[in-house]
Amino acid sequence: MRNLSIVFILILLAPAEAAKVFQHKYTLWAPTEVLLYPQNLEIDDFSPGSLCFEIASQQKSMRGTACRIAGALQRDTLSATYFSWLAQNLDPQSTVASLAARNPAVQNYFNLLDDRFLIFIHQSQDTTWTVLFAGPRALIDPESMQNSPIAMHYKTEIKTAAELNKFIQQTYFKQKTTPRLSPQQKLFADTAPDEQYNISTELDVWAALSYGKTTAQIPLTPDNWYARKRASRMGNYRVIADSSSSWNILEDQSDLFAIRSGFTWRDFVGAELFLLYSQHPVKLDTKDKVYQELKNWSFDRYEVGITAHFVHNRKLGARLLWQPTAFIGFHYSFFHEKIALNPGQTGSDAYHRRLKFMPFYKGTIFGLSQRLIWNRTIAIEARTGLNNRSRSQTQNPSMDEVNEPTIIGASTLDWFISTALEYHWTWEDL
Amino acid sequence: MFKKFLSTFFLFLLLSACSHQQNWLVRHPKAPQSPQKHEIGLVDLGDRWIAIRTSWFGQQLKLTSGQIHDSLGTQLQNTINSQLKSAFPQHKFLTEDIYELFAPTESFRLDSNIFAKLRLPAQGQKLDSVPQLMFIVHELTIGPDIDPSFFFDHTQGGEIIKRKVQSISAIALWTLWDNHSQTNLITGVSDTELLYDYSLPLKPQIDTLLHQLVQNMNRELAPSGSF
Repeated sequence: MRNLSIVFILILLAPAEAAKVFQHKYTLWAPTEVLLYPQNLEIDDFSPGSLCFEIASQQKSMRGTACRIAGALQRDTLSATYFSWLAQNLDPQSTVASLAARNPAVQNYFNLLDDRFLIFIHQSQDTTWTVLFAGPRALIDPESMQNSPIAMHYKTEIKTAAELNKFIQQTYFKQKTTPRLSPQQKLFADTAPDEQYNISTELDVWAALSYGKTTAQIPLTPDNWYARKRASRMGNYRVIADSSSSWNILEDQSDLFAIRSGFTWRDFVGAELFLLYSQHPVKLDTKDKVYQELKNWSFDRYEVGITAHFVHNRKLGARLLWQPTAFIGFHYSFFHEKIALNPGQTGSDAYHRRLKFMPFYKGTIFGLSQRLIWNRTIAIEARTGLNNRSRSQTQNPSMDEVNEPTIIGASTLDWFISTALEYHWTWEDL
Repeated sequence: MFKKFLSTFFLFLLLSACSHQQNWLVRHPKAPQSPQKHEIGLVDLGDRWIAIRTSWFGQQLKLTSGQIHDSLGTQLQNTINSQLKSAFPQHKFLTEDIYELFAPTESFRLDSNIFAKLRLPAQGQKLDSVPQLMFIVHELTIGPDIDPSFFFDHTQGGEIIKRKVQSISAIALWTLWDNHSQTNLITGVSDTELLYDYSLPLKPQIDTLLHQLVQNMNRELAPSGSF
């Protein structure tokens, strides 16, 4: 216990502080070349070889890494001026942009680093500062990181070369490595088209099975917009306060099944055929005794139509593609009645004069979807959107026509969300 | 009522999603909260001004095209210099000769789309006989109905529409420089606009405009409002 407390007091007396000022992402090419720019370094036994030994011994793929002192930079007046300026401005508040080299000659040196790294090491009092520069090929975002340090750290209480080597290895060379490119591969990478242009295929055809939910309420809209529709009940097989929306008559919340098949041309635009199916029981006024004869009454809704869609592609990995999509289309909507009476019943007059929907409705559908395609074959898709149906007007009303009676279900709107499993077939060129 | 509120809210969401918030000021974390309280080296504006639609200025000031440069330039220089002098009580006025010690023109990134061309002192070279802080107006643009994004945002652009002048605007690109550490503390673009009154002479209106501009710069230099 006493030993523990002594250790604790020692920790309190000598806090070795290590902190990150900033660190941005970079590609760690392996094996790489590390240039060192030590300035004001008071560790005698520090050598590039010992650092490389530490780097190589900690990660197998880094074997063969070469370290050397950046003599050309130290001898050059302009870069030496920049680095002495940098030494003056080592501050925990520093930002990437504020430490950028502004002199074109120094910028040129940084560009020549290519896939190599440069570490600036500076000691002032008991604090050791390390600043990492990466060549343009190692930068993830060359646009905003060029000519700037990519990472900066400091640590107090570094007394030996072993500690410094370990600190540098742990902070900068611990991450996952990428095999270094040969000169030919570099040339190929430089002249290859942008990957975002490279991923398009001529034709992508798919078939999908989908399951989801449909409901009258659109998200983020208040409940009271739907309260009246949802509370509505139908009496005597056809007595209803308002029949313009089907949701006054039918249960709006339902499972939604779909079969879809479509194509995308050049990963940009395409079309899709779909068949939607959902089941909607009739909302009966249970106080009405006429329904005692009724066993069940519901409507199956079938919607068949076509959508056009626009696709954006983003490659998430070597085999993984993300496609956010916007779609809009139209459909024909049919209500198929399912009604059954209790055994022995023949049906009342009201039963025989019960409410009927129109033979079909015309509707529009639009929404957003996204799919994750693996290996250009299997995909999971999620979509959401709005779907409406209105009356099937086949001719323009004449001038002297009287006001038409309300058409049942002529303004029915619902929101849907669904997920699907898809299989894709692709053709690179036709 | 609720529907109306909701639709307005959605419209706001849509508009805010579409609009890109432009960043017209880059501030170093070490920048002082109220630089006006320190001694500041003020660099003379000199010839670093631009007038857009000089013919319109000539028309209003009743000057020929040859006279505009001298007349307008003298007014802009004198007004902005005197306004800045009064904004920074502890100033040391530096002539334009100090520009010879600066690094060549370079591109400075304010935002992903906004770039400015400016000249600053070199890194690692401390200027002699200059206070720690130095305030440089790199460029002053004056003209009718102009917008800073027209000059600095590379995604914007097009032609200056020559319609009947509604207002006069002034845009300044400026930097607060730390001479000791040779760092760029604040670089910003300030702009102001004044509805042009045809019944009054132009000259005092330009003075008012530049007064507003310097006030804006002051406000951006000291965000806490403690100047």
